[in-house]
Amino acid sequence: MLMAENRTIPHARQELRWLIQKFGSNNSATLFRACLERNRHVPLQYILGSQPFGMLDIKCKEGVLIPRWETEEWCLNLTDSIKRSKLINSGASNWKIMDLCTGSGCIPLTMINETKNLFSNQTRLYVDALDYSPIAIDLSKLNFKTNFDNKVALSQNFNVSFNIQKCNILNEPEIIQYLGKYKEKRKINILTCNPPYIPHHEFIKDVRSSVRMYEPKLALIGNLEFYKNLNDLWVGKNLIDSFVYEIGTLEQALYVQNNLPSSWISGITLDSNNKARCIFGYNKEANIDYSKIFNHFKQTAKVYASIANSDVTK
Amino acid sequence: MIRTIHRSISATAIRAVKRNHLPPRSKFTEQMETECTEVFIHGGSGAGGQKINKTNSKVQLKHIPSGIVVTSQITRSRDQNRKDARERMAYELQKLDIDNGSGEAPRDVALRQLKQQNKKAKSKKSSKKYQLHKEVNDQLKHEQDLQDQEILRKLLNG
Repeated sequence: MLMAENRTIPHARQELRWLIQKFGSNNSATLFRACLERNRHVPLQYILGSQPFGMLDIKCKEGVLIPRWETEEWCLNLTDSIKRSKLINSGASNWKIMDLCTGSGCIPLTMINETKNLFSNQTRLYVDALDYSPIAIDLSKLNFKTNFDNKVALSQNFNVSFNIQKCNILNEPEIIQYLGKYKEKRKINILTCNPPYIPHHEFIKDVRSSVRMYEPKLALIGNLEFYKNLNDLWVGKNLIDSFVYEIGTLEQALYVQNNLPSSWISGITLDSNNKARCIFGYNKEANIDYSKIFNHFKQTAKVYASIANSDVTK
Repeated sequence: MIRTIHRSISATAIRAVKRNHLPPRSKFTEQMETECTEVFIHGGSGAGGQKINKTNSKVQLKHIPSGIVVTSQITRSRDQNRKDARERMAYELQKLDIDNGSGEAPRDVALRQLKQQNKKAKSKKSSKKYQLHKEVNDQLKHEQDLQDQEILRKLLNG
């Protein structure tokens, strides 16, 4: 039955083992039902209810995108680069990281988990997560609770604040209004985002049936909307110092690169499957030397080298 | 009786390995980390990112000087698999280092001994139980025989 979603017998065996771990082998009725669901292409993470992401256990529910290994990879590379840059220990200012299209909350929660020890009495980390979907908001709150207990505990043990907000990211006035509420720390140090990036015409053609049938289209289908929003709003209105966006196609990355102001340095990184996966950029005129983070980030992820040249010729 | 005493002495002499005093597991050192290359196998050149939802994550670790390759996909977590692969690599490298002819790590030797020990203890326990059972049975049988003889004698005499 599991062969519908698995190409090889060892893979199917392995999935069966995980299903047995969750449901027990003697409770055959529930196990059978789980296998039947899997046969109908329900994602394994929705059946088991979770997906490991870095050190965290991220709960998964229908209606919210399941975290991908590509995201996990660049997210851990980024936190590793932040740790190695030693920028947080040296500067006395607070830090703010914002994640758009947060979904399950896997990115901001990993950011907190990996960097929380860097913040001491003098410096505070503010992490904000925004999403348009109310189900995603609820799930990211649940994931925060399962991994960190509550805001008070986090704030007492580490100098970290976390906030989740329902927001239409493409609606500029709404974002401006939301940011206006912050008195203590307005400029965002790092903006991260895993926007919906599958173009409409590729959705039927390329997307796996399990993803197509059960994961939310809101988190999957999109093309340049969020990248345009990045250029026009976040970079254009000087709200951020640096960003990391996940990408699906090279055109999306080139669109961002071609529309960045000259004071911004950017690059495209590959995942370990050699696919263009991220575009990052930082303002070299910012108060903090972000090259210390992103030079290492470039090294950990392989870089798409030809881009810089092709960019000049355009 | 002499046999039992002998056995108990020999048993105490062998029982050198204790479950909580095993030689430590081999450790994956910083140096090993620099000598290894790590590859994440996600299979194929097809679609990636949001288009596909992989459930497994395979980690492959290669130790360049010795050419040893280990892989791990035991859990769904890449983080756990990376740790598992490093443990396995450390174990393989330790086996390579040891020149005791058998190619076995001290922990393995101890574990094997422990297993044998437990097996011996178990068989000893069961044979003891069997002995006791047999004695009781013999006793009962003996009594039964005596009773039977008594009855027989009474019948013959009567």
